[in-house]
Amino acid sequence: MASPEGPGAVTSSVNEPLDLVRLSLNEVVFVKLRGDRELKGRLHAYDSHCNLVLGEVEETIYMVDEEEEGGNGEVRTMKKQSEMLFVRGDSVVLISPQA
Amino acid sequence: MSLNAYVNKKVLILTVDGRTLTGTLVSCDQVTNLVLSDTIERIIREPGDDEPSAEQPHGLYLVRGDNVVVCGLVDEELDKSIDWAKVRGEVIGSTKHV
Amino acid sequence: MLFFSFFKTLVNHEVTVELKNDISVRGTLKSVDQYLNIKLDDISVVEEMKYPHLSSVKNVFIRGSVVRYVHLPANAVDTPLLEDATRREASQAASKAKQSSS
Repeated sequence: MASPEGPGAVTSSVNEPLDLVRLSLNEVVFVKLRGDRELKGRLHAYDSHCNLVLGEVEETIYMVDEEEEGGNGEVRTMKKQSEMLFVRGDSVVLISPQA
Repeated sequence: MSLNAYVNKKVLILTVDGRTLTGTLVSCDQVTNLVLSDTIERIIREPGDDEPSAEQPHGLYLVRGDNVVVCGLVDEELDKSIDWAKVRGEVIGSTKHV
Repeated sequence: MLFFSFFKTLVNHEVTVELKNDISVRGTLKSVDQYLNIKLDDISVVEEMKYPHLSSVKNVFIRGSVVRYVHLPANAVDTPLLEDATRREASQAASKAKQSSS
């Protein structure tokens, strides 16, 4: 799918994975991070490293209680809110639109 | 690089494996490699621990940049006012997660 | 360059940097570089009782690679401007990739 455009033009075709992220600008996205964390917030900025700026974001942290012997630990979640958050790209696992 | 402002001053380094080092910053470079002189490692014990928090002298240290978490400028007056042997704190975790 | 420029607009604002070792440091953003290394002045560690290690430190240099989040004041961010800059940066990155592959 060749799209002949000059360097200054803003493309509207989807050529590579990050173009899918571009379609989600100013929309609510779901982000999965390393360390059992998830974010849901409005995407305001991103770059090729997957550094992000999200607005009105809720963070969910999954924790396991491992004290019980011989059984499964209980999975707990902790939720935090932030009005504006920069997220460093090297923690990002996936970015998905929140339909 | 802004770390140059700390050269020849007393600094406190936290490392990725949770250690606390303090010393005089001799030099640094673009990737945060550091040379510290008169380096002291501070071992801050947990609240339940009976042993006093300790200090281990290490002399001249080269710290590879990718091991550096933070490099803080020590306020000498503030530092002297703290009895580090009595300080208790949590063990600092690693920066890497599975 | 996008986030480097973004952080430069936030110099002198109060931010909270959450590190990958779970320590959070609040302070005034004084400088940032191309690696997104951050310098904060007049810091306070968020759970000071848990992490007294930085008690004698007022100004700190934070290596960019150890940052998990930077919590920012929403009123300091012009979101439409940021989104426009993102679109420009994304298309520049795409055309650069196209040039190098042709």
